Amino acid sequence: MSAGPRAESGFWGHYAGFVSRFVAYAVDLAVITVLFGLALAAVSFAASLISGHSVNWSRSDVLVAILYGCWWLLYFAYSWAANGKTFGMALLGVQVVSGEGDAAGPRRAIVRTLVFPLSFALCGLGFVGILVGRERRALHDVIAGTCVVYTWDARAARLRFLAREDVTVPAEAGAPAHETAADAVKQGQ
Amino acid sequence: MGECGTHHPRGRIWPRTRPGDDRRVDPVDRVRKPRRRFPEPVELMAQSAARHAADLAVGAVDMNALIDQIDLNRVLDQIDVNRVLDRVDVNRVLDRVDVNRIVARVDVEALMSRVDVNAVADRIDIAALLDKTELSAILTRSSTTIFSEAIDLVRSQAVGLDSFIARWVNRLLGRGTKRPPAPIGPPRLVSLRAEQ
Repeated sequence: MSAGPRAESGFWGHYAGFVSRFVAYAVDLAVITVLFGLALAAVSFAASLISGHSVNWSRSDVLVAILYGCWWLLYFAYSWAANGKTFGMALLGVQVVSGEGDAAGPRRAIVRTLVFPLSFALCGLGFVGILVGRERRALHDVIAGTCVVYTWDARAARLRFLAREDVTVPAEAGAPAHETAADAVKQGQ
Repeated sequence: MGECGTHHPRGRIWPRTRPGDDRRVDPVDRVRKPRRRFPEPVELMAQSAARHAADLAVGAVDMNALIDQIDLNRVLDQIDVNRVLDRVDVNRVLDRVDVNRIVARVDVEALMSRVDVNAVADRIDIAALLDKTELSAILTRSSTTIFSEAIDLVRSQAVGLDSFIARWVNRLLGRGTKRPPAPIGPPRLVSLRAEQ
C-alpha cells in the first residue's frame, strides 16, 4: 500500500465495514456540496459584477446538475488516484486499495469513480456486498478490482488515549509498572 | 624600717641597694611610672571617689531631657548606613530569623484588603506574559489533542458498529461454523501484519 499506514495490530488492514464507509461518504458528500455551493456563489458574484445584473441558479438547472456531477467525479477520482482516500475516508480512517492490498492507482480510481453511481442505480443493491460479502466489496469495488480497508488502528488509539490519561492519573500504588497503558504503548504490546 | 629599704618623704618605701648589688636604679623610672609614686590605698580612694562622683552625676542627669535635646536626624545624617550594612552578614542574620513565625504573625486578610488588585493588574504586561508562557503553543497542543480524541471517538464508534454488524451477518450466514470464516483483509496486508 503506497500510503503506508502504520502496520500495527488491531483493525489495521482489515476490510472496512458498512458504517465507516457510509459515514465517510456522507462527509464527502457534504464537503462536495458545500464547496460546489461556494464556487457557484463566487461565479454568480463575478457574473453579476461583469453583466451588471444578478445571476440565480436553481437545483433543476441542467447546467448546475452537470457541473455538480463533474465536480463529484473529479473529487472522488482525484482523491482515490492520489492517495486512495477522500477527506471523509481520511476522517474515518479507511482507504481504497487494490484487491491484493496494493495502492489503488489512477486506473482503478477512475474506473471505480465511473461505476460508483451504478451501485446507486440498482436501488442500492450494489452496496449489499459490503454487508454480506466475504471481502465486504460493493459492486463498484468488484468491477474496479478494489476494496476498502481500515488504516486506523482502534487498539493503538485506545492505548494512546489511556497513555494520555496516565499523564494526569498516576498508576495505582503497588501496580506493576508495565501494566500502565503508557508502557504498553512503548513496548508495542 | 628594715635595712633593705629607705623611707621616702611621701611614705613610699623604695628598695635600697645593698652593697654588692649590681642592679642599677633608673632615676627616670619614677617619672615614667607615675602610678608607683602613689601608694595603693590612695589610688583606691581616688577610684572610689570617681565612681561615686560618676554615679552622682548620672543620677543627677535627666536622661529624657538629654535625649530630647539630641537631634536624632542630624545624628542619622552623619551615619553612613551603607557602611553599616556592608558590615552586616545578612546570611547570618537570615539564618537566625524564623520566617515561619513571622509569616504566622502576618494577617494575610488585612494585607490583601489593603492591596489594590486592579492597580496590580494594570501594571502587568499581558503581552509579555503571554510571550513568556507560550500560551499559543499550549492552546495548539490542547486543540490538537482534543481534535485527535474527537476523531478517535468517531472512528471507534464506526468501527464498533461495523464489528457488531459483521458479527451478526457472520452468525446469520453461518461463517466459522457451517462455512469457512471470511478473510479479514487483503492477502498482502494480512501477511504484512502477520510478519510484524
